[in-house]
Amino acid sequence: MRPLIILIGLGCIVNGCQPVPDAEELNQDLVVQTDYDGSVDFGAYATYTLALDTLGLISNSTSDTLQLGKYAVDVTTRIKANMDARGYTFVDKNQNPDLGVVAFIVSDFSVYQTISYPGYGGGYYSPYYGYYYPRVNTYASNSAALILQLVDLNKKTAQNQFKLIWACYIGDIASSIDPFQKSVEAVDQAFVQSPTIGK
Amino acid sequence: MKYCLLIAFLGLVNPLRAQYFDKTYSLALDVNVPVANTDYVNQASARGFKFGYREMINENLFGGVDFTNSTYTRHIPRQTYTQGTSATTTDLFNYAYGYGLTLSMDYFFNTEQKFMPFAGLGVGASYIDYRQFFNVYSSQDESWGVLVRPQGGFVYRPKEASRWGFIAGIHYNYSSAKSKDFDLGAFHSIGAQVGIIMLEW
Repeated sequence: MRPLIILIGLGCIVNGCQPVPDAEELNQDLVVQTDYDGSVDFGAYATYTLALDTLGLISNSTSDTLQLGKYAVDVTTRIKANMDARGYTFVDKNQNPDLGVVAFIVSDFSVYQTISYPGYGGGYYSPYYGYYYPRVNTYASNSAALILQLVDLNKKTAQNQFKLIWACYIGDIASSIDPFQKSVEAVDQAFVQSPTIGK
Repeated sequence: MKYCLLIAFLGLVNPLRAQYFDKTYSLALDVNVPVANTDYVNQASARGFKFGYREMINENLFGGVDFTNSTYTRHIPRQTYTQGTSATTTDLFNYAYGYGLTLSMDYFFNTEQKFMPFAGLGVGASYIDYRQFFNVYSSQDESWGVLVRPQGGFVYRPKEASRWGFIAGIHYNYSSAKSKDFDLGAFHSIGAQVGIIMLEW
């Protein structure tokens, strides 16, 4: 009987002693991650186009492919403001722009696992796996990321796709305490941490 | 959980009363402060526990096991991390959940008085679960290593014949449970414990 009592006590200790951060603190601000093609001269581009007032939507929970409304307006307006501030000229898509800005929401897909994590000391090089990053888990039951991309409309890849030269992941907008304002701030931050974008 | 612990611990109490003991069970609050890897975690673990069991080897020497757990944390305010062409802006909540299971020996300088000082050493296994939380994401690295814990303290019984008393002590923890993912070396901490000890014979 006594060993059983001890085991119960120890089990209680183990199960009860893994505190986690407060959710409100965790979701105070969005994570903003950017990456760019280091071989590209961003100063060589002059014009860009952007679907104003509309975001793409990829979701497991709806068949809609577009996100409209105030959120889309706020986000695309701020993207345009940042692109303009970096010296690029907005043109209509029929006016042969150099760059295309793509903005869309990915909901309920595990996209974050595919990108590097902020890391503490970064990843490390493994002789077996090359440059290695620790695994990243998403513990939200339904998460959503706002993804921004810059594509070179003058170049296509071997798969006949426009060349991706910059990407930004912003998350998690589904659990954000203020997704509208925080997303706008995150768009600004994406450009702040991407000084290479600009003429 | 508190009730569960209390029930579990009360089950260990032997209703007999006697002066000399050959077994002890202790449950203590275990407060630890990290003294290594403080870039990763720097807050004291105030919610840890230490569970100990000892059997008499000779009049002054007792051997047994200790099970410990502790949680160290650190919040790093929002900032931008750059790595090559990639940059990430977030705040980080670093956690290290530590568990230890040691074979321990304690030498009691006396075993018949109310105040019984002791010194000891524990050697065993350490498991540390390193977690880094950011927004709804987290990264994790689990690590095993050797745990070495020199310790000292005292047992104080309200009466010489008491079958229970208070236990208090200090210890130093060395754990070789490193983390490659987070670029962390061996984990060191110093700690203090205060709790209750049950004496059996």
